[in-house]
Amino acid sequence: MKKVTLFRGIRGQRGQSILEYMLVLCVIMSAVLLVISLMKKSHFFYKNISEPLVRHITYNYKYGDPKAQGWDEGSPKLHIQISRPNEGQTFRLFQPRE
Amino acid sequence: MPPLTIAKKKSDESGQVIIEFVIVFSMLITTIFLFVQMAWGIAWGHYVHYATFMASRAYLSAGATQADQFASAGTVLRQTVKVHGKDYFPFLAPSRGGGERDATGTEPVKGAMVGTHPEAIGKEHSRLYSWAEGVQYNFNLKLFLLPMSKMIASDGAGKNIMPPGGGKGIPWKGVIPFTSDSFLGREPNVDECLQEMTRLSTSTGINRGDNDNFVEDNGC
Repeated sequence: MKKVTLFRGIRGQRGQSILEYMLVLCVIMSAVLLVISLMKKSHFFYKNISEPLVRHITYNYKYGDPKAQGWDEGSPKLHIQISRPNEGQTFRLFQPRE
Repeated sequence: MPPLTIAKKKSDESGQVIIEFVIVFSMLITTIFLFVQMAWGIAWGHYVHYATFMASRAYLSAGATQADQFASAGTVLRQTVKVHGKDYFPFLAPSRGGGERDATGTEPVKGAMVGTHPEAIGKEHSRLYSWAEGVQYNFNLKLFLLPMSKMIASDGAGKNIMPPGGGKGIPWKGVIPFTSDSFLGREPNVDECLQEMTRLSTSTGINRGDNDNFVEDNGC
């Protein structure tokens, strides 16, 4: 009968692929977490997705123009009813000159 | 018969297809529901525009008193954007009530403002502001259903998203704040009509006391 030693067990190649898989997974996960933390630190999602998207959609929905503003925003502009017509022009929708 | 070992089981590839299917299918379902939710939100946004328009029409129409006009607008809103007094889709587009509304004022249903816009209060007799009576409805919309949605939504939380030309910003809370305005003005109601016709009658020396005839003549 052969002697089974601990040394012989370690030298076996069984489990090599799973070990390599785990190591590669660790490296990939570390890289992903590093990238995500850098993105969060620089507010990547906020600056590139949330802010431009919300700014565009909100005013486009409310006034029909992403650049328009009304009284609710504090400084009305490009608002068909709030803005006064230029001198000499009398046409405006819903709104006569005072 | 050869013995069945754990190593033999691991090398078996019979489960690979089902695992790949589950991974791809979950990604596919996420993408599909992203578009479903976006479409749902956009459709709801259009519907709310229609609802505020209908409510402001009800407010515009003459009634016995201004309270009647106000009640009519509230009734339309309750029937269009609420069900049993609650939001239709609280998981998708919850109403934004109280001080979170763009224009504060009387709130017959949560998220709504009915009446004169705060900026025009006290200027009702000016023709530049006479249109500023109507209905506003505020709600939030969740547009993100991506796997990283929470991370995207929480990024930059608390910051103010400023309008293109400066002014009052939008506090970023991970949802898109939508506001539907419909300011059509308001017709004089019967009470106001009688008051005005009586005033005119008195000021012109006609002095008719039969106020009912004013309304029958469509004096307003």
